Amino acid sequence: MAVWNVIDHTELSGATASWDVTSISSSYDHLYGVVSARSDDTGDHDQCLLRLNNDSGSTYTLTHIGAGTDTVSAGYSTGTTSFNWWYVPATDAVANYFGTFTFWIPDYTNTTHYKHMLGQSTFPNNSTTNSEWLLYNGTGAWADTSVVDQITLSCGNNFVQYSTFTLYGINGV
Amino acid sequence: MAIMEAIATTYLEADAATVEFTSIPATYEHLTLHYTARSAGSGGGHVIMYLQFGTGGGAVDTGTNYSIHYIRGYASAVGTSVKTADGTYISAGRIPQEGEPADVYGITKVDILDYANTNKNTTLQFATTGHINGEIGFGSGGWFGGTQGAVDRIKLSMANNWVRGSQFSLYGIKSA
Repeated sequence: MAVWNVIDHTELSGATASWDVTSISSSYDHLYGVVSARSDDTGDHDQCLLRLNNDSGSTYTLTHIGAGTDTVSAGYSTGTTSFNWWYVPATDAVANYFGTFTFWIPDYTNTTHYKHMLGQSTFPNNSTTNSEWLLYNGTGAWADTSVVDQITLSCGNNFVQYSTFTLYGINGV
Repeated sequence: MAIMEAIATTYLEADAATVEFTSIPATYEHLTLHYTARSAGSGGGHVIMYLQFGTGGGAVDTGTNYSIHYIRGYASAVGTSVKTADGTYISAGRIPQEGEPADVYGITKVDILDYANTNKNTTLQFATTGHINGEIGFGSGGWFGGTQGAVDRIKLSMANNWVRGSQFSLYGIKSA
């Protein structure tokens, strides 16, 4: 059996509000997502979010380390409504730069524990001005023991054309 | 069909000024590049390295067409160590020098996303440790050379040689 399996790959043909993968098979050990995206929001960047099983309740806990200035900061919050510590370039960022976001959701079918994610995100830009670039590594826990069968990504505004989203199922044996 | 495939691995049997991956096929969705490396520089601590892209079968772009941002933890301190616009390379990695114990090599993982999409400039993210004095960090880089061609060449170099025993592996990850 293949270790890596493509569950979904989407390249946007036009501005789109979200990427929503439903009916995710439970036949893998882990999930891995790779996102290359940009927003049509005004300004330099747009804050994005990831939700599991379409749950918008206050069920997420976040921890992150990152920076958009010379000062690195860390954050921790509970009771949030999504994993929302990742950002993408927007209208005022250098043309044709797309943000990077990768995330792991290990053991997503195990119903004995909450689900966790570990990710890295960048809002790259050809600028050294504060807040015109952002880097974040983060983790999160979803206070639910359900099997993950849906992942939804969105931003404040639409993802632009050519944004790509790939979800892999990873097998351990 | 495998989703993740090895494109090439270079293991240095002797010191070398550059490591270059050429004729990278455009048949993957993403690239991931892993290296375990050390610099022949005589000093202590670590040094930065230079990553440059090429397209269209030509040499890598050495113009001022790169950007990078890097944040790090360094012993008990944290901060931003590299923040460059209009640079001539992406310094995606921290490499120990010969002034450090001989068995210490830095490790780096670089994710180059959607590298063959001609509607995008190429961007990457990386994580690295130089192992010296607790250096660890992660960052982003971009290449806005204007051609937006598919990346088919990656050059890795430094101010000094890579030392014998350094290893570099490039993998392609498919999306179908």
